Amino acid sequence: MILIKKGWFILILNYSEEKIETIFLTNNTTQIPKQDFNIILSPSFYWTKIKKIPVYTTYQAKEYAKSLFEGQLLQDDYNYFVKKIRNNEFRFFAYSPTKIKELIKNKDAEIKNIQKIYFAQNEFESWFNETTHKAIDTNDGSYLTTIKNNIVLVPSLIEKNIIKIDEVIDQIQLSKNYITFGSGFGINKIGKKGLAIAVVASIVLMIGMTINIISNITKINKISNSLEKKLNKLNLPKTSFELKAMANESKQKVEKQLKIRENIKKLSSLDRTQYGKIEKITITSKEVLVYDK
Amino acid sequence: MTNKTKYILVGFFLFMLIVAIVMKISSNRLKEESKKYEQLFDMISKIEHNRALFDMKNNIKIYNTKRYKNSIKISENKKEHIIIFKDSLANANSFIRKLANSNTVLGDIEIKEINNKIEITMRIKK
Repeated sequence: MILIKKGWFILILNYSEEKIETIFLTNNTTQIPKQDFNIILSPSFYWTKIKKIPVYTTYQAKEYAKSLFEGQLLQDDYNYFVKKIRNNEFRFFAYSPTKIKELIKNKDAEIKNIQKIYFAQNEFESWFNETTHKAIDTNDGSYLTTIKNNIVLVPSLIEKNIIKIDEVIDQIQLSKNYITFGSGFGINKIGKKGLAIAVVASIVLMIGMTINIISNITKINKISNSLEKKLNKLNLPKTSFELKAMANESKQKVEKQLKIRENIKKLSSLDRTQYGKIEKITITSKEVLVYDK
Repeated sequence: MTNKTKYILVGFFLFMLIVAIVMKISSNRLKEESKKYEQLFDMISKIEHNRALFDMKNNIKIYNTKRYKNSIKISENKKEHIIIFKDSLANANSFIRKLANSNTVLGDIEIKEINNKIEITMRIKK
């Protein structure tokens, strides 16, 4: 996930690549990491069913989840997770967050360290299809195996082709089907790509803003300098109030000069025959007056 | 990515966001200030332009031309310059049109006929 190959940013992103430990959680799990970790839930922690329902999205399907497990769940505190298999066909999971949290607490581990919680069904189903191994030894006296595409936990097996859970966990690529406990302001739900994009975007935004501010300051300094020079050259006052008054005054003066010129031009079109003997003519910016004797 | 890293990045992102907001506000203020300076600069340029439009120096050039020099009397008091031109009708006509068609400063004008000569009195306020 290295987006920028230079500078300090690489440090954060490299740091983010730390491998997080994944544990397979059963009721007998003894060792739970003190650092951040992922969990693959043993089948004993959830109920699962495949159902065909006339909806297209997992979001829509989730609305039916509670009714699907009705009568099977003893407590009320179950949450549901849905995975789409194909059109109209979904795998439903019902799990008790309270039960998982209590178990983690009892093992003196921190709930906030749980990053992502996976279901054994989703993580091992395809693994069993691709391998010759028939079961996984979970290290606590039980075995994971597959029966009709369902991953189940059994206490003993006749099967000899067994592999240790630690070896499998190292091999498997965790899926995108996980849940979180939403601890720490939902930090677990934030994807690293989204976060990286947000950080990069905010840096770009900052750079943009800085350039904007610098260009504005430069512009102001430039105008301010030429203003100062002009004010001194023209011997003008420095307050904007006085300058406004001067601008109005100079505008009026120009208008007055233009009016006088206009009125002088009117003289040539003056019809002298309509007057008697002319005593005098006065021309101002407002009018042309002809005085008879 | 661990939670710790995420917290650092989210914190960094939020910090950048706050800084960006503060920068945006100050950028807007600077923009406004820059606009005010531009308006002030325009105003001064207009004053400069208007001042250059009509100039008393151009009056003096015309007053000193051979044709009008001997017909002009110039005086001034605290409030105004008084220019009295007295000559034939043709010259008076030429004088007044010359003034009107150049970048001179004009004032209130009074035209009289005295002893077959035309007297033009122009009062230019200071």
